[in-house]
Amino acid sequence: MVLHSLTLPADPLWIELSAIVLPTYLANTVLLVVGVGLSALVLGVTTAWLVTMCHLPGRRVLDWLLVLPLAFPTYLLAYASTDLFEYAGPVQSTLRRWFGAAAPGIEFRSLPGAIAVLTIALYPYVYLFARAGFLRGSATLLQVSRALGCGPWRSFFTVALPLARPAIVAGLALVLMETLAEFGAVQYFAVDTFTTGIYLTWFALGSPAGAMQLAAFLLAGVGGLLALERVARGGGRVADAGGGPLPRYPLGRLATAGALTICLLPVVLGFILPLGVFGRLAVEAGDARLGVDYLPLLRNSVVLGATAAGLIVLAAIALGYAMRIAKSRFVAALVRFSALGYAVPGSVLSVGVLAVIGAFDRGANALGLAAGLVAGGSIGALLYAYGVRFLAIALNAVESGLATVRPEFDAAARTLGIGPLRQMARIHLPLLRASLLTGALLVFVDVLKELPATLIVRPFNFDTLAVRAYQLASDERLSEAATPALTIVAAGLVPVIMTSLALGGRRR
Amino acid sequence: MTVRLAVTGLRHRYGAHQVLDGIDLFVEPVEVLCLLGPSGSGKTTILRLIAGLEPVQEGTITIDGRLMGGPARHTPPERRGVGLVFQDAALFPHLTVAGNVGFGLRGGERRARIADLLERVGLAGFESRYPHTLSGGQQQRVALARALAPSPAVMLLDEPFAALDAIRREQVREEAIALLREAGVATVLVTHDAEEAMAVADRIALLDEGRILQTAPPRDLYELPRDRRAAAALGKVNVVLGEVADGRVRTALGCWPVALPAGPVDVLLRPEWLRVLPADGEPSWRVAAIRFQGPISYAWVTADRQPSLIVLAPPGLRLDQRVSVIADSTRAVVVPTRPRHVEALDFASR
Amino acid sequence: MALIRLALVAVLLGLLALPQGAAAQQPERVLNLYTGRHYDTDQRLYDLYSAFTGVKIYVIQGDADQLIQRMVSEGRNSPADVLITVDAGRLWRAEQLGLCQPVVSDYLASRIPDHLRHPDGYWYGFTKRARVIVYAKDRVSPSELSTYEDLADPKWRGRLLVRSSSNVYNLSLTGSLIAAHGEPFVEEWARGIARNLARTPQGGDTDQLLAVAAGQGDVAISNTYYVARLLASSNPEDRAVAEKLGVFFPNQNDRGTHVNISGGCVASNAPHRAEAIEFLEFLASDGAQAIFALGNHEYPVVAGQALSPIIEQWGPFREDTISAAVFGANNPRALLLMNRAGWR
Repeated sequence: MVLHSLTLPADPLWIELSAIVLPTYLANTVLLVVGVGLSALVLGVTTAWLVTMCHLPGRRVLDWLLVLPLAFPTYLLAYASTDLFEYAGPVQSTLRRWFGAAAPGIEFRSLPGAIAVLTIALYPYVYLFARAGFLRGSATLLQVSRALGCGPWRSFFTVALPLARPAIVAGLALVLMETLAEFGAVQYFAVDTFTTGIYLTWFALGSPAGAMQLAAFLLAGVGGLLALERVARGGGRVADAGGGPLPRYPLGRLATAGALTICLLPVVLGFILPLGVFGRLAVEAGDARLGVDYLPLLRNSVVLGATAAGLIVLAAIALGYAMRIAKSRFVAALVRFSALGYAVPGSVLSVGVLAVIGAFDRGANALGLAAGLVAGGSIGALLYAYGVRFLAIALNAVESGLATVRPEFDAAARTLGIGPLRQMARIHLPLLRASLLTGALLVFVDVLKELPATLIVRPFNFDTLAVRAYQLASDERLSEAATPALTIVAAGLVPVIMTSLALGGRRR
Repeated sequence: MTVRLAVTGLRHRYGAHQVLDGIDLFVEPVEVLCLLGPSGSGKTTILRLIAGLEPVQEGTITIDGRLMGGPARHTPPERRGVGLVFQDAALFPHLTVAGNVGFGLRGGERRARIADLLERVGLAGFESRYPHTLSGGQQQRVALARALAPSPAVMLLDEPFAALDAIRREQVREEAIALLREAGVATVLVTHDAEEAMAVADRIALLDEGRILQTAPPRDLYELPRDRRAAAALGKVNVVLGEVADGRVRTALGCWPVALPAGPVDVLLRPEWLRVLPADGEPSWRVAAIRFQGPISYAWVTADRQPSLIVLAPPGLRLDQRVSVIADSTRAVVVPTRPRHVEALDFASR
Repeated sequence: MALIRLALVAVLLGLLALPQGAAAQQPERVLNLYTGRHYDTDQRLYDLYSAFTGVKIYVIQGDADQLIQRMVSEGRNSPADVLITVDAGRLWRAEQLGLCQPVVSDYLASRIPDHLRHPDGYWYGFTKRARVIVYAKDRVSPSELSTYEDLADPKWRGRLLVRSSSNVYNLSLTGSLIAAHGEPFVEEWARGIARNLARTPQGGDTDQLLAVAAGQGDVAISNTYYVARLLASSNPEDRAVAEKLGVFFPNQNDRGTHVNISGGCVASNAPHRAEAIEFLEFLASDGAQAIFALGNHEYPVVAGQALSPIIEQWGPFREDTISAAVFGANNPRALLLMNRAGWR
């Protein structure tokens, strides 16, 4: 679909426009992606290391507190932080009241602002994967490295980090893809990126072909980056070398304070402050329709999220297995390609999905299988759109989990008379449990927050919490949007905490 | 003679690398065949092919007369009736000992069978323990019980004792082999430890660079190696160059009759086939080094323009002592020297 | 296994628990509506229509651009009967893509002025939104304000606030300027606007109003109903902001203030064409016009209708009567030109 667009003739108006704006957009995109990537990497890896490898008071609570910013849709984080920090907001107003004209007028809606908010919103992906990577990391090897005279710092850089690298990269890839696809928040910060270009071309200029060409270009870039990483990783395979429980590093008083600050900062910025902002708004001027009207919204959101999470994780298992069993580069490339949807802006992708579904319906009609619209405007279509968009998340989780299942397990199971399917059920799924739960959780929360695809692919009279929040926010009624926003967060929190408890309890 | 497992003409390559280059093997029921060879000689690949973990590229594998693997046939591992034990037990970490042992079992007899197997490997009462709470030897015994549980026709062991400490290794090994013989299963044991192979094998297949050098019972292999490489594989050996002429072999250690055509030969002499006596004439050898190894000691002796020999050191032997060396010509193995180009021709004619 | 089973159960339950989508197969009289309007008060319109006619309304609300793309992909199978947008540019594009069908209705023709509907009846406007200049009462005197063109004057350097050029309201405003002056003049004008900006264009119209009240700039371009909404807010902070703002209708001495429309069309493949036309006629009725006016502080298209008290206090004004079809068609050129001029 996107590829097909490359063969279409370009709109002359588009060529003219792109010559004007694309250089800026490209530069912004690169700055944004590099900025968010680096800071999310540092923040995610640091917090994961501190929580898994050091003696910290309240470590168990921090462990899941650090995931909480995931519960907020990025655009709502953008709203909340802007509300606080922009020129007309309380922070800068107070500063002006105190210092008068001497107070610097900081432009919060800028590229640095966007990088800050996206980092806070997305670092949990790196955190989650890095944490899993460190936990799996070999204690033996760390002990060896310490015995060889490497202090905690050198052990971290020379042993733990390289061992956890595949997991960290998987998380980072999600951050980068999400950053590239992000539109609402970036637009809110008045930063024009490649995605803005796609939107502008498509919607303001009415040139779907041009937009698709841009999207194809974007995909090629993402695909190239991922391929590069795979090549760099090379044949190096990290297997679990075992070695008992991980030794935790003790910290001095000052170091403990520093570590706690580092871990709490993103939680405060990414969860507690926005929660406060929306809480205040909701109490002062909440949505008038709160109450009975919210039950169907909540039901739709939760059921949709759970269904999508189930389906997508199943699909990811199937695809992950196809890769493991087929061992062919072609299959692997095909699977990876199918997961690139995560890097495509939601609304572009959903229109692509609509086109596919439209063609499917026309095909079904032509064959006399059905009359009228079968797939179009159905829940199935919506689930399909989620699948295209969020497969990458589940696939990354499954893949990084499968990487730790030793091939000897497969061999042992097979020679004990267990076929491939039962082997999957009896060996892999139990071993992958943590990865699968994490993947399902991420998909669930993402579906809960998902907007563009839901908005355009959904059936008649079908609203979700995210849709409701968007309706109010896009009508520039931020304070009323606070009510559905908080409901989304609440609905997302339950599984986050449940998963965390389920995984924590099992850790030996 | 009944053959349980037969492997013929097995060739295998990974990309450009020829891993196996024509392997022929057979194993009888209750027999233990050791595949002995250095790492990279293709031992593990043979096991994987027999187990069906990889499809056969060339050659055939039959079990009890049924074709299991060939270029056109691939029976999946779960329908071959083979058991597999790895160097590290590879127990499923999420299952208990009982869960692991019973993994390949179904039906009502399961519980009894698990108890019976654990009893036999000396781990009765360990049913509900998790693998990470067991010692290495215990894990390996569970792995063996797990592999034995479905009563396989063929058991494949891939260096199962290599990771155990020296004291425990022998005990676990003896118990395991006894159990396998009792179970009447045809066993292929892969190892790079010659002593282990000689201790447990009914026959040893010597493997080098994807080819079998020689297959024979341990004693035959030790005493009648086919060539210097086969001899070296089983333990220390002296290779003395010699020349055959007129039905006699002439070496630095003397002459004696042999039934070989004239030409250059290798004379293969185990250290214990050489006798060391205080020097009473020429040529005399000098003791260059002595190594104490408990029950026996080895000594290295040298002479002018001769490669050094390794011999059993009699008690009282001193460094720098002058000695004479006498070969037991009845045990010496005399084989024609195989120059490299002859080997190449040999290879091409296969 | 338990995990797989859990996933399967979740999927099955999910499929059962969700309402099924195909609204078009209901036996009762129905109308399928694709709307780009996102105002809660519209629900009252639908309820009123259903109460009068017994027709059940199924709604998909979303971005007009994407709704248009959805209709394109659905093609002949599209269940859409009526498409509603919040600006003329999108209606123009839907018509260009062949998504609208002409409707001949004496009632609509008599109620809606010529310049607020398509000449051949492909679409009709139902409310007007005036794009005005909002100023800080304490820093700007209305006598300093005159026209849109004047906002490019250097005297506003660093004092002007406006949202991004890609927004449809700005596209239509610039489209109307192109119709009045031609492209070279308007590009120069856009350059002046970009130079005068107090900050990078960001946020929506409300954000510009808040920034004027906070003193980040002195004048802003905004639609009237955003000001009205702040004035009518239950939140005292919002009302305090609005009290600092004055509303000025530009170009009263020449062609008039730019007015965009929110309007609708009957989809070319509408399965319920009769209901669709009936619905459009309903939107032009007194009752519907009153809901538009009172609910969202928009200007009714039908002459002589009641206004919301808040916008009534701003009094009558002269509006630019250029056809929405013209400035709608100018949208793409306007976008190009504004980007060239450095107005993001």
